[in-house]
Amino acid sequence: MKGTAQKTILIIEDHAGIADALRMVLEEEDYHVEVWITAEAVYSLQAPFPDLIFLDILLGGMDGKVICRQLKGLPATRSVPIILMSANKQLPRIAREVGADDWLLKPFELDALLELLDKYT
Amino acid sequence: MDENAQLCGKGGDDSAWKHEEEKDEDERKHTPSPHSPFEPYLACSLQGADNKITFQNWLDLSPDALVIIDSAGLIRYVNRQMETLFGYSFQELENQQLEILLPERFRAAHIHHRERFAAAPRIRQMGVGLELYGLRKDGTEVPVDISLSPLCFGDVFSVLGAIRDITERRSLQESERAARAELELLQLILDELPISVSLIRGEQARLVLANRTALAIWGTQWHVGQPMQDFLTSNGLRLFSIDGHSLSPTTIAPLRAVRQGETVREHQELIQRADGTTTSLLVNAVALGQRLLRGVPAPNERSTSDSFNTAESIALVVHQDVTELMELERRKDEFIAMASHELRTPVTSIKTYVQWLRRRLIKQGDEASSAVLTKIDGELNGLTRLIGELLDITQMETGHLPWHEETFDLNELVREVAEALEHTTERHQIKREGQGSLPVYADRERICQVLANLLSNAIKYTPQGGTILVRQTKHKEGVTLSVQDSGIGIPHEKQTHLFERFYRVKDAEHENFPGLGLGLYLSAEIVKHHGGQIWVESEPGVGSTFFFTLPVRVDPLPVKGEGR
Repeated sequence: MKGTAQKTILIIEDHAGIADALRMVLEEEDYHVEVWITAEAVYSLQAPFPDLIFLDILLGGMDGKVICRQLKGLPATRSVPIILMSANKQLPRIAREVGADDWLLKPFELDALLELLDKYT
Repeated sequence: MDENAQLCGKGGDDSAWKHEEEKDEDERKHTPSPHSPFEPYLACSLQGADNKITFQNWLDLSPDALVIIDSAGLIRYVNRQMETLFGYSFQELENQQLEILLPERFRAAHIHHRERFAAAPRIRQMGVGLELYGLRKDGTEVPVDISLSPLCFGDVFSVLGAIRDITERRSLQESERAARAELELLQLILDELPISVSLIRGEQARLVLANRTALAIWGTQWHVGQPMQDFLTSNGLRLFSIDGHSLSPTTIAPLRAVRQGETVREHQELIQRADGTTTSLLVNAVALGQRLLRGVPAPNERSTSDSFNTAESIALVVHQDVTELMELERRKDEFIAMASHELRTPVTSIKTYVQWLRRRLIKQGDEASSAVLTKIDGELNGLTRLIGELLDITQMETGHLPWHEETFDLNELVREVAEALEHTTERHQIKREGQGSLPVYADRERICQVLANLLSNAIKYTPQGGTILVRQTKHKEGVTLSVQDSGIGIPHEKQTHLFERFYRVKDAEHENFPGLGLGLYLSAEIVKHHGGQIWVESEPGVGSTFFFTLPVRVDPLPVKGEGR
């Protein structure tokens, strides 16, 4: 499950309520959590990279799908697991198409979230 | 007297003129009194080759009723038609005041008119432009035309009046007037209708008539007799289907109606005018069959054309401007789509908070509190489903529901959905029949939605708990899937409405089960989109079995032209 060093999870989600609830869950699980409510900074993302990214696909002004594709296209960030989030029922297909590692359909079950954490960190 | 013989008789046939010798009782009655000054004149005869005819015979030959009055206004002679028309015999009328034949209300004025005529006698119509009436012996009135002519027998001044019964003409005129008024009223009604109404005829769809709104819809005058396509091209008008395809003669509803005799109802079209403005139209083209219409041929149509003597196919075309309705509909859909997205967002955070709190309470051993949060979580799931249905229905109505078809294993999907739903209940077991893989080409998420809907309905409407049986059968045409429960069932008369939008079974039994009435409608639409069928077999108190089929498909659906 968790390693010795505290792991960092980046949440890119423009809805403050969802980001906050997610942060509470993750911090409860002893992760270090960073929340971005916009995605502009994604292109200046520097090492050390987060251990996992939760990325919403509907961001004000930016498209999470495009961001995912780009991060997965860069050698430096290719290996950072990305979990796509959306309320769109077609999310599994979209996640596959843009090269995301996994997906989390909103509103989600806590168990599903914990399973993903287990799997990718 | 043999009248027919008189009218049809030919010269040389003596038998036709026998009346002189055959004077019977009736004939004698129809002769002026011996002392009448007219008697000799009436008896005077016109000499022919072999036969003679009296002036009286002439008078009796007239198809009109004839009356001779003297200068004092006394009736001195009436012919047989006069007797027939007024119902009096000559004897009854002879030497009576003429006014006996007039309705009371005209009598006083008539005496005055008569005197004026005597002062300046000339042949003329009487009361031109007035409606004249005679009074019959039985008291009824008869509409008449009267011609007057002064008549001089030696120095005796008299007047000959020719009276024609115009009852028939008057009634024809009246019905014509009524028909015209009715026609005017119909045109008025047509013009005031807020929809465009036109009548077209023949292969060319030539205009027969149109109302005022038609002008507003087209933005230009479609002339009577002008073929539809000529009208469209000469005015730069273009028609499109709702999905933006240009309409061809084979798809333009009015042309289909006159050419194929096909009635087209509620067809959505878009008209684009030369100036670029557009109007959304709802078109009804009703084929009225082959009919003969009176009318003037169009200038470029051969006037000798048979088309005016032979029946042509006729169609009634109704165009309704639905631009505003569509805009309202679009805004409503946009609103629902936005609202459901906006609703889902807080539900997501609430659900996450609730689950976080629940997890914490479980860790602390507070079972009572965590049980409450489990219930809240369950309610949130219900809310999420309703929001999802609301969004789906909007997208489905506007044709914006995205479809993503792929090949997948239906058995695998059934297993997934069944397991997921079994977790939500403790009183129900979901049993699956049919094993192995069952590949189908369909929208996995949507079929998942249908399965989830049928299974959760089965759970919901089997409140006492029990086994729910899911069966998949593969056959030549595709697969049939059924979900059987042992729940409260559905009354027979309600079963046909189950798949209608917003339909909810309303009875005491079903009252305790909330919902929007969208789940089955959406399921049916999804199944229909895949070319399948959905139906139910149910017995109240015994249970229901819902079936749906998915036909074998390997290739993507061909792009659908119109409708859903």
